[in-house]
Order: sequence, then C-alpha cells, then structure tokens
Amino acid sequence: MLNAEFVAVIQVLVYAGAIMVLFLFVLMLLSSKTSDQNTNKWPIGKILAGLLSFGIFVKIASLFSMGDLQLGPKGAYPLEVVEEVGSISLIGRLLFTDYILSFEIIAILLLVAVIGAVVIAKRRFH
Amino acid sequence: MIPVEHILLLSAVLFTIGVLGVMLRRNVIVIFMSIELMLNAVNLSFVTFSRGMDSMTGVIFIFFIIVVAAAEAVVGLSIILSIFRTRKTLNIDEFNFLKW
Repeated sequence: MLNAEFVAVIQVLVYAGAIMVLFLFVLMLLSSKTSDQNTNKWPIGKILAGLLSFGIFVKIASLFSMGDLQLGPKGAYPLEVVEEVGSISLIGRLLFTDYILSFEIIAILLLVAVIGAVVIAKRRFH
Repeated sequence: MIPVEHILLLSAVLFTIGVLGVMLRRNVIVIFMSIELMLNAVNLSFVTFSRGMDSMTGVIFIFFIIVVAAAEAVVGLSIILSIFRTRKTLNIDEFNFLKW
C-alpha cells in the first residue's frame, strides 16, 4: 500500500520487542502503589487541555484534508523503481551513501544514550 | 487502496491522543507512552508523504526518529527509575527537584 515494509518490520521489532519490554521492566521495578490520580487541583486545566488539543487536531486535520495539499516536486523513487529494486535495498543503499554521516552520528547517539542510562540508573542519592 | 487523506487523518488523531495524554494524565509512565504515541503519529505521516512524493527521504527520517525515540525511552525510563527511588511516587506533580 505505502510500500514501506522496512518501516513496518522495524516498528514492530523496536516497539513490541524493545520499548515495550523496557516499559515492562521498569513497571516491574517500580511496583507503584495506588497513585492519587484523582486529586486534581485545577479542574479548569482539564477543560483547557481538551480545548487546546481539539484546536491542534482541527489545525492538523484542516492542513491534511483540504485537498489542495501542496506536495512539491516528485522525488527520484516512484512506485515502479521501489517495486523493482525493493524498498529495503534502496534504504540500505541510501543510508550508506547519502546519509552515512547522519547514520554514524545516530550510532554515537545510541551509544551515549545507553551509557547515560546505565549511569543515571546506577547513581544513588545520599 | 486507502486514500492518503485517511491515513493523514489517522496520524492527526493519534497525535491528538498523545497531546491529550501528556496534558491530562499525571502518571509519568503514561505521559511517556503518550510521547511515544506522538512520535509514531509523526512517523505515520512521514511514510505517507514519502510515498506521495515518490521520495525515500521520509523513510530514512523514520529510521532516525525511531532511533531517537528508543534513546529517549532508555534515558527517560532510567531517569524515572532514579527519581522513583527517592520520591516513591509516579505522580509528575511530585517531581519538583528543580524548584526551590
């Protein structure tokens, strides 16, 4: 449909495989008691939040569904090319040619995030 | 074939649910999940526009967004864990270390 098999697989792998497991681990470690969810100090804030998010939704939806969506010039990868070469192959080629610098930087970011998470979670406050 | 407008509308709905979750809920874990939901709504519109414009850049961008989201989840959850050790609560109103 959107010819984005790679995105679909990565989404399931990362979110169902990694982030959900991480959330479950943290929930298991937290063992939270009954949270005082209902003690709302400022009930008008909920109304304001609802109005604001409704406004955001109306704005985005009107941007998207006006029919005069200005998409700009077409790129170099129409449907036939993607189906012939394969989207995963195209993405891999692009990642290691045009976007190699971003790819390396994002790898460093991931490394820093892992180290930072270990350091933050290990530290004890005294 | 689903029309493009419907996918974009779904993306807008998901983003709004994320915004509502961040603003209404006080549990820090739920707020965190709402942030992930907003990131994924943006991913959905990225992949839609990428197909609509015959470009591969959106898909590459999604790759980077997912990596940043994963890094954010790791660091954020460890911060939550570290705060929970001292405060023993998940209510975000209690997290006022920076206020004095």
